[in-house]
Amino acid sequence: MKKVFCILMVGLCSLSLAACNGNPSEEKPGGDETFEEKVYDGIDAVFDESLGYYNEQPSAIQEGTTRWLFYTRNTVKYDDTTDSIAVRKGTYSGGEWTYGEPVTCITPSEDSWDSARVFNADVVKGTFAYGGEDYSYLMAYSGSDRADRADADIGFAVAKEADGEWVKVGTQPFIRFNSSEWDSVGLTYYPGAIEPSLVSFDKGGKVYLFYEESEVFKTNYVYELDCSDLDHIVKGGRKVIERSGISDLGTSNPLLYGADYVYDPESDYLFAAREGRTTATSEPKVADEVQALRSSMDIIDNIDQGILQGEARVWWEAIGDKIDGDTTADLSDPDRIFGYTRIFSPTIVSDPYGYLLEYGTFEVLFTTQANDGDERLPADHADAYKYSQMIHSMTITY
Amino acid sequence: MKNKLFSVALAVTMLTATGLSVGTFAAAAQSASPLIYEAEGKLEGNETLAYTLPAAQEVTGNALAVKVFMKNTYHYSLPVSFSVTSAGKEYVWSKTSGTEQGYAYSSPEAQEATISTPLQWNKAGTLEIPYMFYGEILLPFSALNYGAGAQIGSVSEISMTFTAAVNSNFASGDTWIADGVCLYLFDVSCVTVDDRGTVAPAEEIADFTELKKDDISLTSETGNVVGELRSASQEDYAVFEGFVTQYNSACETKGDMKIVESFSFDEDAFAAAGKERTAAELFKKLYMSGQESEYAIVNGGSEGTALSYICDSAEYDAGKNSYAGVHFNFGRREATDWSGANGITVYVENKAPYLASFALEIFQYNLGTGLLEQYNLNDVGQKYKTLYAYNVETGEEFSYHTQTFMRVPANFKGWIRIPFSQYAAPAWSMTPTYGNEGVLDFDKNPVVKISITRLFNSNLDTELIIDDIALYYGDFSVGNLFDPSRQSIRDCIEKGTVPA
Repeated sequence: MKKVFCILMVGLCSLSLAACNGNPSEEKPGGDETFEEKVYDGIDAVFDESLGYYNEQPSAIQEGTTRWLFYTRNTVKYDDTTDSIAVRKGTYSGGEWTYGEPVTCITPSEDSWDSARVFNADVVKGTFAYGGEDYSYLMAYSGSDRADRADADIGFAVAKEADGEWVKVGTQPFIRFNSSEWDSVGLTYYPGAIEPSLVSFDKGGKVYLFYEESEVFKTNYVYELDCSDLDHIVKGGRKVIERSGISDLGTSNPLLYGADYVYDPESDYLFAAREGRTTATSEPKVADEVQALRSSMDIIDNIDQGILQGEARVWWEAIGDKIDGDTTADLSDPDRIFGYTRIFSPTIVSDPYGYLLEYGTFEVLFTTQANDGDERLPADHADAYKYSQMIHSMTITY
Repeated sequence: MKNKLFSVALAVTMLTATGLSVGTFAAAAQSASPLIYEAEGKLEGNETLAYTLPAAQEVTGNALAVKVFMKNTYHYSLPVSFSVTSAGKEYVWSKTSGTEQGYAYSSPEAQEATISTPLQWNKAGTLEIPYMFYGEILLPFSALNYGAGAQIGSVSEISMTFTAAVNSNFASGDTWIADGVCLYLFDVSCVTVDDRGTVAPAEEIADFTELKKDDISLTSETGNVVGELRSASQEDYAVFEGFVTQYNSACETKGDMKIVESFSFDEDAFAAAGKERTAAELFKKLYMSGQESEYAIVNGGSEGTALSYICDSAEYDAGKNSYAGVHFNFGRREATDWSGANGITVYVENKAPYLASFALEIFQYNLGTGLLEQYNLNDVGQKYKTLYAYNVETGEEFSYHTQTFMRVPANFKGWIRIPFSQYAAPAWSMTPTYGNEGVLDFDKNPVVKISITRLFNSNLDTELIIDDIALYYGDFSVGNLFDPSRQSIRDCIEKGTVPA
């Protein structure tokens, strides 16, 4: 597999900045903080930031030689109560992508559904009106009023520029996860509505909102929405994304865990990058591989009506090689020949509307993380692994 | 003794879904006061009705014709063993496979029977009389004594034995909480059936409409008789007329849906029975198994009346299987024809602020094997099934996953659609004990009953309002915001049509 990755060392540290809604803040690496290197077991990250800051759950859209990389980041070092959605501008030059400084887009609200955590954002370009203003970018993100990110809901924010001022849409989430709605057995912990992924339907205000809902059953859904007027969002149907063709050992009902979606109008394929099922028994209990898939776009509307004639249709087909420990190894460095053991939260770099950039290949950004107890982590921070996430890049060809 | 004239010309036209062939025969006008055998509770053992003729009567023809109306049985069909006594010896009709002919009337006043119904012999060697069967059961003398045939010259006694403890066909081995037998008896005649199925003039042997209950002996193999005999009252007769009229009328349609059960009765058909009796009959049409759950017919639902079904925690026995069920057979013949339908749909309300669940289990009567086959949302490996919903209050349409039971989200009010593609035969039913072939084929086989089942432990005190169980025929989409050329569920309900 051809690995395409580029790194810009943007500094040794980042200043912790109080995230604000409506006041984009440019983080300034360096300052008084000491840069601590993260744990590398394989390929480099696409940008460096000190240990103590998690860089995870990437989402990237690309317009020509400009790329906007959104991700989840804590704004105060070693403080996971300071979630933010940050964006870095990527510039392509000399065969490499170079990423600028992080800009905070949104942070938790003071007292609302997303008062504790904001995470896992995805952004699409289009035309969106809200509060009498016109906006060009729509962000869907997960938020929670719980420190553990559980019972998450999904809300929207808008901006006129990708690295400009982001305005949250309303004070309520668009998808409110209510565990009791689907629960009669008394469980109290659910991830909730997570992993939003936006794809434009018309390059205007109509969008597909893919997401994962984890109640008693874990299901991938897609909503058809007209967000042209965000004061009055028009809901279409909410549809199950069927999962035939996906396999995970030990389950009859595999999931598109942590999936990101892009659409290719030319081939009418829906592409997805998903995490493999978590097999880790120690923290962090996240996936150890990422897989690329494609399905006919018919998957969204197809319903097997009537009596099933023969076997049910198999929708998903794996494409390219998995991204796993082997493929993330850096054989040129004796200290990095084993690759990463925690590989999760993939995204496919798309055009601004969530469409495939080029048929036959796409770039996947994904997250890695150090294991709890890794001796390379500083002893003075017991949970340092929680702040070790990095974002990497690989190219899938098919 | 009245002479009866009827002839049958079996037509070749097949009603494909029900497997019934069309024929005609003319019959005498109906009598007004048939005898009724009814057992509201559970039979302790098989019970036998025996009528001793005033004098032995010479047999003519080659078959006995028994005219009955099967009003209620808590199984789709009631196994009945028929026998006659001739010259002091009892002869029994018994076969363990195949069918006999039954000719049904299209209305209580009908002079011609137009439907030929194959009546199934079951594995125990008794003939199964289907729910709502009204007509003549033809019992060839050649089938007497296990098919050995008997050249009987006369008949001195006619008897029929009703089978107790009919198994509910569930793997748990449950039987119905009650047997609920109710059979109207009209008369018995000798007839001649030729090779073409034509029935020649007949001689009547017994006219039950002229008999009193004391003319018939009623015994139980246990000695404790549960069933009762009575002469039909005017109200009983009106009920009979109502059932037969309703059974032969078309199903109501709504959009692309053919309603197979609305938890209401045809008011016109039952007008003469009175509201109180009609309400009682509607309630008794449903029957239960498993733990003691509670149901009622209530105002509300989609429109008119609906089923309220509750798993009352006060009744729950944690030491038993958590399952409970309420079941019904179809009150209209047309409701058994599922050919051409895409799936099943139901109106449901969950008033609780948390999840409730139930199953709509369907029972195909396999005309090839003569067995009732159960299908539900179980599957190998506990794979998820996909359901489709339209909330009439919010207007939202969505699909979602479920497993074994239909999950109904909190505060949901609306329609849920289940394509037949989501149904499968449970693994246990495919064993030789149950004989399920596992192939839904509505072009060949009728569907005759539905079970609404729930699990107590996950549904304590949750009330479900269930109404208008229907077949849908449209190709729907879950909403159609991005493609108005598609029909949403709401479009199908409001604008769709059922194919002729």
